[in-house]
Amino acid sequence: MILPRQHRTPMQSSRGFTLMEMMIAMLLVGMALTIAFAALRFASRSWERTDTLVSGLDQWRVATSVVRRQLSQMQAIRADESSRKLLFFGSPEQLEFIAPAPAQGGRLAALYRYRLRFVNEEGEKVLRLDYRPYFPGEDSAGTAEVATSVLVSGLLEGRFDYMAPPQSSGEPQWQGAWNTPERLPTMVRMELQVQGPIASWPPLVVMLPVTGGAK
Amino acid sequence: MSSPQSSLAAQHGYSLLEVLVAFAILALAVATILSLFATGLRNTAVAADYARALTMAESQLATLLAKEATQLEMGVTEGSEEGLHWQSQVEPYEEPASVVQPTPLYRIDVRVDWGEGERQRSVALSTLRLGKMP
Repeated sequence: MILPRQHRTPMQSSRGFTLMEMMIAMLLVGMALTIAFAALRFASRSWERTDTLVSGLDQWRVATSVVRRQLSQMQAIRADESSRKLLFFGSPEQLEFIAPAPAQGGRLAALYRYRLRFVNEEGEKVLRLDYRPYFPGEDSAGTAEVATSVLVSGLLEGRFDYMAPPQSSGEPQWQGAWNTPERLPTMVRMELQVQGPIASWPPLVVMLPVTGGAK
Repeated sequence: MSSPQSSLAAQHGYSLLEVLVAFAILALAVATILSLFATGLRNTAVAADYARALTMAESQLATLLAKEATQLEMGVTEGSEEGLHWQSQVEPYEEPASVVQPTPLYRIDVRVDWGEGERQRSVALSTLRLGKMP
């Protein structure tokens, strides 16, 4: 005779799992956990890599667009009336020029002195942009407050080169420093090597709008 | 009204087969989601390649535009740098017949290719510039 269930003792009715069932269940749980952890690790790693790639890309875009826009609008202005020297200074680590800045945030559209320089800061090389308003006739030190910002950080290498206007004697070559202050180069080249996934960028070449003569 | 007997009988767990099917579905879903991450990373890398190629093309264009008109060479020049292949072409611009041109115009095309086979991508820029005065 089969007893109705409710009359069984609790011990009899709860049969428990067999060893096989337990092992299969644990195996399944283990597989699920392994998959979940691997998935999480993969997701966080690819998220991180995408993030560094995008931030490197953004930094490069902003830096090149600023450098290209300002350099291609630069103006050849004489340091003073008596000399023929232009306010343009170029060395491998530093580049100074005068260009108009767009009106923005309460700032008037005016001529600015720009200085791009590679400097070592806290153990890493950065490309820094300094700028201040230009007042005709002021001395090179100037009086206006200098605004500054870092364009590219985490640099391995960085340099400027200058292309002279064509001479009668052969093709002009890139040169590391600009030593003829009475003239302007036709092009400026900026080479950067950055830490990170996109280590090497093609050199940025900017054509200067004025060749030679000063205003 | 449910008796204790019927409620107990109705309470059967999942069979092993059901659990395995559920697992398979879960694994498929997880794989799909993860492949989205991989696609995102790959697309970002492609965007970075485009940015590099564009920089190279703009630099090549600037080099050709900055040249003296007398030193502008007709024809195709090409080269490879950093996994990118560039090709620039300078040719006289065929103007519409009705336009009178006092100075010759030149058309400059710069094209940067990279990748192989179906993954080949390219960036092309074109512009016009004035040539030498007659």
